[in-house]
Amino acid sequence: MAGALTTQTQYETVIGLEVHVQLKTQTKLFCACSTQFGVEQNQNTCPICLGMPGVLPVLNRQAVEYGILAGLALNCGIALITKFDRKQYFYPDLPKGYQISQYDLPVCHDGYLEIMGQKIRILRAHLEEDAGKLVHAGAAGLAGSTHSLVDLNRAGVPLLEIVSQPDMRSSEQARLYAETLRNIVRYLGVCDGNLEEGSMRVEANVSIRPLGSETYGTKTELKNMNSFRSIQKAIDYEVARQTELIDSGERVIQESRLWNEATGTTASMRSKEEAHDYRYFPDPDLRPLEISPEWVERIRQAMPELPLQRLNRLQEEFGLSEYDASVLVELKELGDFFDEAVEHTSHYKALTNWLMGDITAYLKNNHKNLEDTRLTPKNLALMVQMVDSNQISSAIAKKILPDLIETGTAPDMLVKEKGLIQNSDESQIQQICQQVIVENAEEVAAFRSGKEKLFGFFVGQVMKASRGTANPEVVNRLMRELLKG
Amino acid sequence: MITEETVLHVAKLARLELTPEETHRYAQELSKILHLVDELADLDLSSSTLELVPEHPTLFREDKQTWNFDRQDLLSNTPEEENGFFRVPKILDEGN
Ligand SMILES: [Zn+2]
Repeated sequence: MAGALTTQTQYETVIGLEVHVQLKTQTKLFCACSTQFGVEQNQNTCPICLGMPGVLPVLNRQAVEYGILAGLALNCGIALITKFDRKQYFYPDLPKGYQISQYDLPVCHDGYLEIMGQKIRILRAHLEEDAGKLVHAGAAGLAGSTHSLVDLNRAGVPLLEIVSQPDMRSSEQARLYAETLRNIVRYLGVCDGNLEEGSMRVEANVSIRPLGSETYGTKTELKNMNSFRSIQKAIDYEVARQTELIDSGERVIQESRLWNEATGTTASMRSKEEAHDYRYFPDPDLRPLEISPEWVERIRQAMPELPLQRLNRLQEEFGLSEYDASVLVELKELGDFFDEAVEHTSHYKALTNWLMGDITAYLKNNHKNLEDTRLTPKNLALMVQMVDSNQISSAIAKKILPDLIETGTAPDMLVKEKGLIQNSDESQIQQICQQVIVENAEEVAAFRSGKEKLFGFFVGQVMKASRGTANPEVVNRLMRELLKG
Repeated sequence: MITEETVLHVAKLARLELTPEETHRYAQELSKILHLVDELADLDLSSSTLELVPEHPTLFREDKQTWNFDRQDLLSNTPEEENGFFRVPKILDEGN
């Protein structure tokens, strides 16, 4: 070859994601069992989801509606006719021996999401039922354990599987796609989007190919990523592994691989090839489903605000920076809180700072979610107003914040209770200043001989003596006058 | 044509054990059935539209929990139960 270059081949990463989101219905997809989390094993089961002979599934309207809603938000077309198919495989968490899913006529098709300025096409989104859960009793995973325990509370819970085209080109883009999807389903209220608890599950199809190549390389399917960070890490690991294989003349084997968070590696699941022969066929127990354009239109009309719309609105309506707006969008509860608080104050920037700064820090330190506290949007807005009108200093506001968060008491009440109302009385402040000067003669001398940095020390002493209530502006002014001597 | 290999493959998927005689017989019978179905492909359907249109509106269920079964009752058919779980032989290959 020309020049006989010894440089290594440049590869391009190709990623497609399959995302399962658990739809937040009250009951299962085909039976009236509760979907409630955390009840006793097999409490939420019935003859239908246990797969007993002679039972008939009946479709949950809400699940279909959630599926359509999500499809519309993902810019998908909605099928006029859709149907349910049986996907056969044997596993103890699947009592019927088949999963009711959708094969060739999914409820949603051909959508897209824009990630890092690029359109990521969505091939399809279809409804299906979840499987149960295997619990390994006692000596988990030990060679000696011969039995598994089956809990079928989750069997039959509705899922929407959202399948992208292999359009992503970096692990970062894949993580952003998953995060964007999570935000959308949370905004729609159709799913909690919790990777750790499994209400959202992400599988990544990863392959590499020489840069510029049109054909795809052999892909592997990565599973078991329990956080958005681990999605990115698992893909990075897998790309490095595949690159090493190909560079050393070996081949990538098409297989499923499990991500191991502890070791930071993926490992083959060695599942048998036959397992992928699912022998789909239409479920004769369920009629094809006609979806009227009128129904779709009604769902479209009732669609709540989406993350991207909120991002634009927060900037346009309240003049927030793109960064601030994106933080409020990312954490839906913060954004909801902001939207309520602006009913009570027009100091949008101050409100944002409190939410993104002290409040977020407090929640993080105390391992709490905003909705678990007693902080109300109105109380926070009132506090912002009090700071703005000089009723309290921001130091005092910080002081009462924990109580504002924990007790739900209005800020004016808290300030009164604690005797923390800002004091702007010049004669009182002057008295404190003079006392500080008398008590710190050495520092005063040092200051007057040029050590101007000490000014902050004096102000601090006055604030301390007044328990933070002295108006800092007044303290500054008076202290400066007095120190001039 | 359904070969004996195909029969064995499907039997394996369905966790069925077949004798060589059964395998041979099913290969022949299934081939005949498929052949019969193939004849349908010869029909001239150019003038008819075969659309998947349900004759009756889909029956929906509202999203309300309308029942609560007794767990012990539901578990009563299982050969082995443990503490409210179904107890099954451990699957070594955790794939899928
Ligand atoms: Zn059920």
